[in-house]
Amino acid sequence: MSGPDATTMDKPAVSAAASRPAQFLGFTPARAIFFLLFAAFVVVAPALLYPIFLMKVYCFIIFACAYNLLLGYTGLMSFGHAAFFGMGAYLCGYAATRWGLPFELAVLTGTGTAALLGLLFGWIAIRRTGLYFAMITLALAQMVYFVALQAPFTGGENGIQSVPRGSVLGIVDLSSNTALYWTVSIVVLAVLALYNRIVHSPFGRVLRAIRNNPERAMSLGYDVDRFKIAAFTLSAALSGFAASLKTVVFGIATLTDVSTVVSTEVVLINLVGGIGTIFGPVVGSFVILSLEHFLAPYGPWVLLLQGLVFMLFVLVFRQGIVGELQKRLRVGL
Amino acid sequence: MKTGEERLKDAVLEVRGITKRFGAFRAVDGVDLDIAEGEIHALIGPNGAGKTTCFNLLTGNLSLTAGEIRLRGEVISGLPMDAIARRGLVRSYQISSIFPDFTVLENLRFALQRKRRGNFDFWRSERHLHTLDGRALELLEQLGLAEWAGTRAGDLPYGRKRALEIATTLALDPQVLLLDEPTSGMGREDIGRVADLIRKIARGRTVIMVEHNLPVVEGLCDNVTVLARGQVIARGTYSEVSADARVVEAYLGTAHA
Repeated sequence: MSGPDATTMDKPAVSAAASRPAQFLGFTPARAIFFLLFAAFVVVAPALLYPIFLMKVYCFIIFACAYNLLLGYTGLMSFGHAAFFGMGAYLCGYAATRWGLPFELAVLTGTGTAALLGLLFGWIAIRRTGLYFAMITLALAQMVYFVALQAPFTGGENGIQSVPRGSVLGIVDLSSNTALYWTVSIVVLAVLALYNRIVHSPFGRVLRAIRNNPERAMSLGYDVDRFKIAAFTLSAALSGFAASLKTVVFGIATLTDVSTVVSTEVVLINLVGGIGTIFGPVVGSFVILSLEHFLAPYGPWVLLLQGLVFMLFVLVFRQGIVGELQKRLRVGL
Repeated sequence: MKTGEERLKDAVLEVRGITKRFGAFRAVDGVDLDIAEGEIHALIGPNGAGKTTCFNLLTGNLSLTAGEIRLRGEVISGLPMDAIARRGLVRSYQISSIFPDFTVLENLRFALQRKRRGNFDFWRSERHLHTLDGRALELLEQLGLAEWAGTRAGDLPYGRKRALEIATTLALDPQVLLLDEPTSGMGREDIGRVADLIRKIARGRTVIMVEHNLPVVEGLCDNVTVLARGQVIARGTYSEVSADARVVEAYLGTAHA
């Protein structure tokens, strides 16, 4: 018995080892290289580019990771992520200005609010799939926008302004752009590692299975709805976290954060970067936000260009930049 | 009919008057089934007899219009599909239902993963699941899939996909196994292998299968239920039902044409 067993054990063990080589922070070697390249960029970037712009990109990377977890790895298309982003931003801003909460607790408030909202929206929306799911999320987000417009705590058209930056644990004063930059940089790198870990966790495996074949996952005894709600909540929480960070960086939370523009932007970022990839959110955020940033002087022409980019990727490069790259290099990024 | 008292006693699955209507059409119309512990039971009948619909009702893929299903005395009709699976009634599909983007080994690991705790642990590395590889490889070995372990499941040849699906179904160690046309679309050689396999895996569990290949049914199954137009027209051993005039009539011009 041991003879044939040993030989058959060998083959798959070899192939399993080939698909699962050494790891760095949970990244495969190819992803570790990409991660370190990005980390190196983060270090030199402030010498080349405007730090506030970079921090905005980093916040959107976190937001895009949150979204990709849902679209790319669970197969759920949400058109309503502005609700989580916007409410996260408002509540973080409100907690810091009105309640005078320190940086960490303000961010936690924004994150927690988005998580609760995500739990509720997820619970409602997962009753339908595909386009109907997307439409429900859109409708709920529109309702949240209306609330944000009317409710007094959001400051209406003015938003919540002069949000104090505070300090990290009372030690690192964030009022200097340099301190803030390094804080946000460390956070975005940590979130990337976390996002990669979530995707490659037992939970992430279930999500990927649901995207692959939801009916089979169910017939194997997985409570698919519960996993979908959990993924939705996690995604919403991370979106709220990104928004809270953004609010601290800019010192402001406005109606823009909760508007449809934000919902579509995060779709566009992932489409361009690569849906269902780890580094798609990084590349996509840089491309889309750079377009906005450097073409800002041309006003509404940015929207036209964004539309063209959107069509180009939908028609020609549906895998996104990172998706195309990993196809060429034959390695998962 | 010999389905009386003595068989009921050790019935694993008791099905009473299950009915499924699609508009005015009754796909399944008042079907009773008693499946005894440890038997291999075939559901046969001409095309459109309602065999697969019957399966879908048993597993909760479809909701019942009427009737009741008990698994070991416990009512399972009305429960969602995943809850029924967790109670030990698991199916395979007519069209191989696998996770195409996973490797063969990952497919197995995913099926085994379900009974572990901590499937919501998003902060833990998936490497913890590699402790399941021993059992996964054992099953792959049993189904002749060991050499394909590292292959992307979507790239497998057809027959292997079927084998993979049966392997993942077995990974759950179900008490009652429902196989929907396990040999459909297979060559003669594969059919022989799958029949052997079913005999092997049926030890210690109950198997219900929909099957078109009558020699396979004859060689494999203890009891047969024949459906036609959504109703049971005969039941018994293979030799009993094949001698039944109504069965011959139902099959004339269809399977034997």
